[in-house]
Amino acid sequence: MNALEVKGLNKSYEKFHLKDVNITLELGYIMGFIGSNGAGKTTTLKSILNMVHVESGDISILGQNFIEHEVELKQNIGYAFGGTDFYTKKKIKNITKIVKRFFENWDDNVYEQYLKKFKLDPDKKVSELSEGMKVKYSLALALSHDAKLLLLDEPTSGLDPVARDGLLELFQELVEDGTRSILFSTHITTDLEKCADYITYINNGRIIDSITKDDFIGKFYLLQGPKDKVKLLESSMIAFKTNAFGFTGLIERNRFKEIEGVEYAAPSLEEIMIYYAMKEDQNAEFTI
Amino acid sequence: MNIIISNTSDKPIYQQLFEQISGQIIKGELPSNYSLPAIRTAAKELRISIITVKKAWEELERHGFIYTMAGKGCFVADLSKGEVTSLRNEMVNEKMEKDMEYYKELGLELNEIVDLIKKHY
Amino acid sequence: MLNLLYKDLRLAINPLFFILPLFTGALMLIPGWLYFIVLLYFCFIMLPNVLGGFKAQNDLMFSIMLPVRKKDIVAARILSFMTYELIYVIIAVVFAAINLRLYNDWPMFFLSPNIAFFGLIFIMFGLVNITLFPIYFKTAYNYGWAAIMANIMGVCFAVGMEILALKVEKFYVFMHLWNPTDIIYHWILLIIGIVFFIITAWIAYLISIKRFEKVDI
Repeated sequence: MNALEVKGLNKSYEKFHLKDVNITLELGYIMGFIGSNGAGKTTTLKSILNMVHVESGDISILGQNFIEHEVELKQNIGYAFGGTDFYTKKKIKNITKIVKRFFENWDDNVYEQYLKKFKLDPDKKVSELSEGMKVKYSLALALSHDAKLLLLDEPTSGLDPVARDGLLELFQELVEDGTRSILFSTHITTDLEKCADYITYINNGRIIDSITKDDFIGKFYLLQGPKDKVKLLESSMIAFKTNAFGFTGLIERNRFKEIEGVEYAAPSLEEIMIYYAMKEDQNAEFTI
Repeated sequence: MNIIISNTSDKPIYQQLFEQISGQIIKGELPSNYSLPAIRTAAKELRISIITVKKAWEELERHGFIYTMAGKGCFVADLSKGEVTSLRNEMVNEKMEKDMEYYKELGLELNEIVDLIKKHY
Repeated sequence: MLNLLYKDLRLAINPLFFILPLFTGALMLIPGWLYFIVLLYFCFIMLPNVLGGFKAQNDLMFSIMLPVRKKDIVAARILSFMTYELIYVIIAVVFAAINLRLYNDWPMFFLSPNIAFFGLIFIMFGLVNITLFPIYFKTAYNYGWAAIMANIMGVCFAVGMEILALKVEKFYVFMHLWNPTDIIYHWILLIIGIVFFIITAWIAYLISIKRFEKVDI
């Protein structure tokens, strides 16, 4: 079963368009949602949750249409929007008291277990929690009502490397039994290299690709070669840069034929992102 | 079962898994009917994608190194000596084919290749 | 929806605001005063403060992530305001009863806090609500303009009624119950007020959900 299916999502703002976004996430997997700042990650997540008004698009969650079954489906979704805080002067135990009333499947025992596991003190105020602890508190709430789909917006931003690694390990633990899915957005690509099964890459409001991580990385080559070979490849590369010693560029594997003197290797996610961003900039220059 | 994943290697991770596990089976380090860890558990422990592990396990099964019992997991196949040898040869053949192509491209003659192999063995 | 109402009452509002109507209600004990002001304190103080609290606490994001629909959020918000308004009215009624016993023979320049007066109070709150919510739910976030307009509406109605009583003798006579047989009409005015209070809230709800549906959070 699909935990999440987004079809043909469109949303226009004055200066930004989300164009024909399609995402499918099977139950039991982790999907990383990457893209540079302002690429449309948060808007997409908000559209999925009917928080913003979209022009068109179908969202189904756990096989049901979201708009038609909004309230039931929200029972099965857990959220954490990084960087947005609510009721920061309230103790978390008081917030929990309110939140639990909304959920049919709420389990106090599970909640207590996660508080212990995450070392969350129920008498602390939200404002006293570190960024990582806030994410963990959101997760504790979500898991206590047995959320099947976790939608996390930038959960790792603002975390130090150790806390980030711990959180990613937790993500893998959460999907281990195959009954939960996680979709989390990030602009830190190493997060994904560690734990994502699928990658959805968004650039300037368009989904470049939404496939398994291995396929995504396997789709490209990073090329390196002498300057005089640039001409041969210029038209087929996604983007490239030159320096005193030659050029480096990104190309889709199916558009590349081996050329003497040109080295090719699998790129990192970060390199893919950088070259796509360069392409965007080059296009922008042309239109100016 | 020991597995060491290198994130910096050019080899895809699923292939690293496949090579290491099949190698251990051929060498007899993993006895027949040895139970492989569940895909999701292996992914969590190794800190890699579930799909990568799945792909490695599928490759292993396709080559006949392991078999799946629905609901119970994956186990090392019960292989006779002859079967182990033929599996080994199959893998060696696969790799050699690729290598030979590379050598031919570089313009090496058969005797030159043989000499080089002898030198390195 | 009831859970949302509980959330608005428990989480969003400083408990101090539930004590405030006791103090403002006690102002009913000032003899011969302009008693509309007692209830207008709700509009002056409570209304902007509560809406400001929601904004500062990022309540909108918090609410939308709960398993509720947008229209539930609107309904809960309007009902929570009606609850506070009722608390103000009920406490004011208690003090008004004391007022009527203590100062029955005092000369009244302004309207006396009797049954008919509270009918007018319900009409006033009805007008406040129908002004406030449709403007507020254009963003469900910014509240300044909505609060100002609601206050203007409340004050205008109060001033209008007081002037009417001073200028139109019949109305003054009716409101001060000089003909004791009019008591039945006092009760009718109260019921009209309550019905108006409910209908305006309903209309405010219908307009607000339409506007709130279009809001991008």
